[in-house]
This record gives sequence, C-alpha cells and structure tokens, in this order.
Amino acid sequence: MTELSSENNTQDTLLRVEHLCQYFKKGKSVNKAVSDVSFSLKKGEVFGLVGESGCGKTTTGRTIIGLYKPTSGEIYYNGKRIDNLGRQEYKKLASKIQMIYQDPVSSLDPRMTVFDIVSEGLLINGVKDRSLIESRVYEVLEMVGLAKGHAGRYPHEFSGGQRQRIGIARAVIMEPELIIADEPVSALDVSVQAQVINLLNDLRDRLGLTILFIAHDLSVVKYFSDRIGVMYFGRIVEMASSQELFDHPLHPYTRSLLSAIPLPDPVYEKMRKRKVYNPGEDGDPDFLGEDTALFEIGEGHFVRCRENIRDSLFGTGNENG
Amino acid sequence: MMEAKIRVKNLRVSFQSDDGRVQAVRGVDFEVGRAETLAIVGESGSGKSVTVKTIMGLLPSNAAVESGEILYSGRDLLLTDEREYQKIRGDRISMIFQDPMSSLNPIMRIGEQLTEAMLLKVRVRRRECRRRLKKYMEDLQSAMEKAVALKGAAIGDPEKLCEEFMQYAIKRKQDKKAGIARGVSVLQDAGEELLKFIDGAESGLRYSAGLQAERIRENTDIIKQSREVFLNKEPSRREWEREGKALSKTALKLMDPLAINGDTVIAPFPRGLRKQIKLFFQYRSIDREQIRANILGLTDRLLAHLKELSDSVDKRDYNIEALKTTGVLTELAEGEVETLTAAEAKKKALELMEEVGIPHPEEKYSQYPFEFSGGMRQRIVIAIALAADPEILICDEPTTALDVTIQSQILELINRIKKERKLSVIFITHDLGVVANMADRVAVMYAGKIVEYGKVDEIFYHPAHPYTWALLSSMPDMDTKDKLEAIPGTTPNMICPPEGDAFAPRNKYALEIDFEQMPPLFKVTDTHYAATWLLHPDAPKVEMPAVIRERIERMKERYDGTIE
Repeated sequence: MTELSSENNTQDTLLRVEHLCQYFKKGKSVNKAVSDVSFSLKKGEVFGLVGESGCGKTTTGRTIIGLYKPTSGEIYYNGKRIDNLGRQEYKKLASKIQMIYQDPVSSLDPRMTVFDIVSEGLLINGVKDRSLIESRVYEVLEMVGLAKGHAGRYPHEFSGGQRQRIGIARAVIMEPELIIADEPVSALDVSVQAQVINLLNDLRDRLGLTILFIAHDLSVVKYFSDRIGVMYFGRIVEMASSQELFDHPLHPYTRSLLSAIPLPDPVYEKMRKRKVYNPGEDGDPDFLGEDTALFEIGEGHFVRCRENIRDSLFGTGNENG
Repeated sequence: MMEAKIRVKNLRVSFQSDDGRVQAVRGVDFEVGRAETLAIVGESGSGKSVTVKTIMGLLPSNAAVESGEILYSGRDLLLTDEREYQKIRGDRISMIFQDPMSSLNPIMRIGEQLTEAMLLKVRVRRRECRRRLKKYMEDLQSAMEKAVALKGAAIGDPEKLCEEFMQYAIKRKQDKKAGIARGVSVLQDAGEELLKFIDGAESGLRYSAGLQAERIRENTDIIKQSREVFLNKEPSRREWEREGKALSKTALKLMDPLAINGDTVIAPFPRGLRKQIKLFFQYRSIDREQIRANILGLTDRLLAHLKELSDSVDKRDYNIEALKTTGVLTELAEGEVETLTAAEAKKKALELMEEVGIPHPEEKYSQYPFEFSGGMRQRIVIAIALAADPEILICDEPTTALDVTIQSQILELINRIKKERKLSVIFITHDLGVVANMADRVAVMYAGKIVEYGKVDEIFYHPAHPYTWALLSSMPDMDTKDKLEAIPGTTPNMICPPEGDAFAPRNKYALEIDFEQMPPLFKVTDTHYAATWLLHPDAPKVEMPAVIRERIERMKERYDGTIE
C-alpha cells in the first residue's frame, strides 16, 4: 500500500501520520470520515490540507490532537507514537501541540477575561508563580498585536480579528512546537484575514512553529503553505509542494478544484472554464477506489491512482513510489 | 447608459441604539440596468446589506431612512405602503440570502415551499383584482352618469356599457386560456360595443379630471398654509401631527379616482409625511434639519404635482387615456378569473427545479431541505426566488457558506439565469474574485458610502481609491510571495463616523485634507468615479501600491493587449 519516501524517518520529522483511519459509527452505517491518510511534517514546515467540507480534513486535525481515538493507523510525534497514549501521558504532550479554531466567537468562553483565557493553559500545567504568569500573558498578547490593557476585557468587546488573535495567543503561550490551525481565517473579513495571516507568518518565523494549516480557500493555502495535501472523500488524492501542485496538478479532482477558484481578474474570469470531476462517470479512470494508492510521480509529488494506469497516465514514475 | 431598472438616490439609513445613532448608510447613489449585474463590495459593517434590505423593505423597527429615494417602475419604494410592497417583494424583486438553510422551512417538503407562494399569490391577486376592478367600475360609472347628465352626451346607458365590458374582458381571458387567438391590444379586437365603452370612458375621465382640477384650485392655498407650520423653529409634536393629519386628508380628497394605476404622488403622500413627522420627534439624535427638509420636499413635490394636474386638465388627450384605461381594466379582469390549480403549480415548480439544475426533480419534489447538500439547497432557494418571475434579483453573499467548487456552480447558475431572463442583479460579496466573475459594474462601499464606482474592468485594472487598492492587495493570489499588505486597524465606529474621508485613519496615502473634509466623487472616466482627494488636480501624484501594479502588469501580459 502507501509507502512514503524514506526521508520521512529522519530526525527533522516532527509529525508523522501513517494509514490513519477514522470511522464514525451511526447505527449500522459507518461513515468513513478519514481512510488511509498518511503524511508527515518536517520541523518548521507549513503543511496545508485542502478539500471540500466533509472531506475529512478537520477530522484529521482533531484526531491528531487527540480529540478522537483513531480507528486504525498510527500517529508519531518526534518519533514517538502518540495515538495510543493514556490520559496522563498525553497530558504531558498536549502543551506541545496546540490548536487554533475557525470560529473565534464559539471557541472563547464569553465569561472569562482575556487574561483568564490566555493563562488557563499555564495554570493547568501547574505554573503557580503569579508574576511569571502575568509577564508571560502580557508578552504573548503583545506578540499577537494586542495591548496589555486588553487583558482585563471580555471576548465580546473585541472584533473578529482581535478575537482570533486571542485564540492565537492562547495557543502560543504554551510554547508549542506544532500548531493545528483549522480554518483560522475563513470567518474573518477580507482586510482582517491578511492581518491574521501575516501574524501567523510572523510567529512561524519567530518561534519556529510547525503548522498544519486546514483551509478551503486555495489562494490562502497556496500563499501560506510549503506543501499541500488535497483531500477528497477521506483520502489524500494528491500531495506536493505548493508551487508544484498549482503548476502541475495531476489528479482530476485537484484540477477541478483549481479551476473553480475565482480570481480578482475580470478578463480571466470571463474565460475561466470550470473542470467537472465526476468520479466513475465520463469514462474517467478510477482515481478513488479501494485498489488505488498514492504514487510518487515527481520529486515529492504524490498522486492517488490505480497502479496499472499509473505509467500510462504519468509516464514512468519514480521507482521508490 | 441603458435605462435603469432601479435607481437609488442619496439613501441615508441610521439605526437607533442605546449608544446613539449608528449611521449605517450615508448617502448612497447607484442604478442597475436591465440584464446588468451590479456588485457591491465592502467589509462587514460597510452598509452593503443595509442598503439592499432597504430596497426590499426589510429594515428592523429601530432603523430610520433619513433621506433618499428608491425609484422602481415610476414610484418611490420608500413611500410605498406595506400592502403595495407585498406585491413587489418576492414578486418583482426577489432576494437570495447567504445561508440557504435559514431561508428554507426545515419541516416543509421543498415542493410545497416552491408552490406555496405561487398559489397564495394567485389567490391574493384574484381578490385584489376583483376589489380594484369593482371600485374602478363604480367610480367610472358614476363619472359617466354625471357626464351624461351634465352634457347629455349620447353614449348610451353607462351601467349596461360597464357590464358588457366586464363580459368582454372575461371572455378574452377564457379565449386566451383555450388558445383562441386574440388581438394583442384591446383596440385590435374592439367591437362596436367596446368602442362605445371607450367613448363613454373618455367623457367620464374628462369629467373626473375637470372636477379634480376644480378641487385643486380650491385647496392649494390650504396646503400652502399647512406647509408654513413645518417651518416653525420650535415645533410641537401635537401641532405637527394634527397639521399632518389635516394635510393628508386634504391631499387624499384631491385624488382623481380614475387616474390610471393610481396617483403615484398623492397616494403615498400621507404615509411619507406621517413617517417623517414621527422620525422628527421620536429620536433625539436624528438630524432634524434633514427631516424638516424631507417634509418640506414632500409637500413641495405634492404642490408641483397638483399644479401640473390642474394646468394640464384641458390639454390632455382623454381618448388615449380611455384606451389605456381599457387595457388596464382588461388586465384586472383577466387577473380576476385567473386560476392556478395545485397540479399546474407543481408543473411550474418542476420546470423551475429543472432550470436551476436540480437533477430528478420529480423525485426531489417531495423531499425535505435536510436531505439536500448546501449547493442543492441554494439552488432551491434560487428556484423559489425565481418562482414569481422577478425583474430584479438581490443576492446577499449567496456563496460565502459554500465550497469553492459548489460556489463556482452557483455563480454559473446565477449568471445563466441573468442572461436568459434579462434580470437585473444586485450582488453583495466581499470576495473580489467573485466580483470579477459576476459583475458588469462594481460599487466599493466603505463606512456607509460608495467610495469607488465603475465598470468591472475599470475597478480591477485602473483602481483609483486607496481603499480599493488596499482590498486588492490584502488578498493573496496565485503569484503572491511577499508579505501581504494588510489594512491596519478596523472599520470605524459608525456612531461617530470620522470627519473627512472615513478611510483616512487606515490609509497610508491619506492627505491632510482627508482628515478634515469629505472628498466628493471625482470623475475618472464617464463611467468611473472615486471619492478620494488624490484625484484632485492639486493633489500630489500618488501611484497605486507596487503589488497591484505588478499584478495588473502580469494580467496585461497574459492577455496581450486585450486590456486597455
């Protein structure tokens, strides 16, 4: 089945997900939200996960952070398996992996002040020194572009962009190594989106963060990520560096996705033709069925397809695929 | 410029809140032509949604329309009363909202939701037509009788004529249903009896207009006196309300009951006046001089209209008017006998579902909204919006909640329908990519004002306002590599909007004058306007940011000269 190149096992890999499956049972039916997803993140890298709603990208993020127990598959963090840890063991790890949520309204407790929200993680991890907590909170608030005076206020007093900054401050104060950002900008206004993206970019450089960036806005993902994985119906169908993916999309679903992005360019828009992807119809070769796998076509460029059609479609692929 | 379907003039809307008056819309002008899409772009809080909600008459009760006109088919929607509005809203002007689930009823099958309005509308229309036709015929008959009595005009028995006309109109309708060809206009298949009726109607109309002119001459001075009351520097609410009531009563008395399609100035006058007087006293924070000007404006318009009516009374061609009246009456009579059975409604609904691209409509007809995906739900909402065959379609961020592939499909659908049905579309969004796809013309809104207005190519290839620059450069596109040019700060508090250009505090190109004085709309080309002092001849020359300039250069290269 899926074999990723051997370099993933080297030391600078921070997170490795292998054959992750997450099925939700509802009565007799089984919803295969994530099936056989494998990828890895190097230290300091931003990996973007894109796909339609319901394709399993959020579930993947939530499983990694331990909100769900995976049905099968393994998750390695710094070379150590983390998906089967007990509660106590996991807690020690938890501060190193933080999450930023999509909706800044529902992810902040309306009855807690900003100071309480941001410092809660430290308290839970047993920091008792009040002055240390204070200095850390103010430092982090400043880092995300909020003032010291904001600490005593409640979330409802802030605009959407500022609330997202609070969410980021709460994540950053734990000095995490990995941040899972689940659609951090899609609920924000255009002008504020850029502020938050710039902030994340800034923090990434300053703190050396590794980020799993989950989003559906392709131009933002392209701008922000080093590598991108495209998900469709619970599977990664294509994975490549962001430049490569946008320049040479190979999987028909990726092509259809890329052809749907509206760009601020009227002449281009008048000519843009949306490519339709109907798996199984139109004589499309099957790119999704059970007998398909990810194959490395170019360097670091993986496409899901059936083995027997790989060569005819993409020429001779890389042998370690 | 093609003829405008809808025209918004100097619209100002504010909301009364505990903290003060929130000036949501501060003087907006635009127009939309037939088969044209106007996109309104802006951040949340820029007033774009409030503007279209005003058009739809959906403002909440704490909203005050401080000034402005919304002209649609010869009338001002702001003066239209709720009963009249119900004939326009969802019928002539339809709206699609952002979240399809909240505009659908979750416990009703979608077939019912599609046909509900159709069936209701036909029933209401029948009742309405019957009422109006009956009233008009009675008025006409009595005017004709008086004309006969006065001049002894030989037109036969008015009562009999009216009855015969009714039978003719109903027969015409039945023939149409049965597929028997008839002339397009009344004149084409006019029989002798019908011609007699037209003659009679002519004398009735003339008599009625004469009577009206006489009344106007008697009452003009009374209206002028009433007007003086509103000039009072220390107004009392009781006095104004009493005077307003009296004035309205006088005005209504002056209406010609036989005016075709009603009188569009006198009929809405009492309502407009009452609303303005209420606004004047209800809210402490409101701009009272503006409201006073509105009241005086209303009264002046009424006076001018009355003068025109009384001056033209001998010059009008009553024969033509009688003919037009007959046409309108025929329509009313047709409306009275119009029926729509449930089966016919279903057939129509299925056609609509087919049109908006819902596969297997027969099967989907009896399903519930939750059984559909987001994109399909939005298609259903569009089908409902189209059910009454509207002229204007307002889309308030219809694709923001959808995935990019589905968004693309819905945009294609709206574009196709617009072309096929020659719809005027007002499209609200904050996604500039969507604007580039949909719009013929673009209005960029900021802090309740339109800051730039032009054709889509002009806005994207020659943007002139720093806010448009900022919007364009804050979004990454496929080639962006550098740090994004975020717009610093947030939108201003509209309780006390900044003096001068509202964007100045966030604008790195702001001049000193931007903080002091509001820039007017400067003309860039005949179709392109921008409200920024940078376009003033004395302003220092400022280039648009390098990011956008380079992007536009890239676009130009890509199309090799197709862009000016």
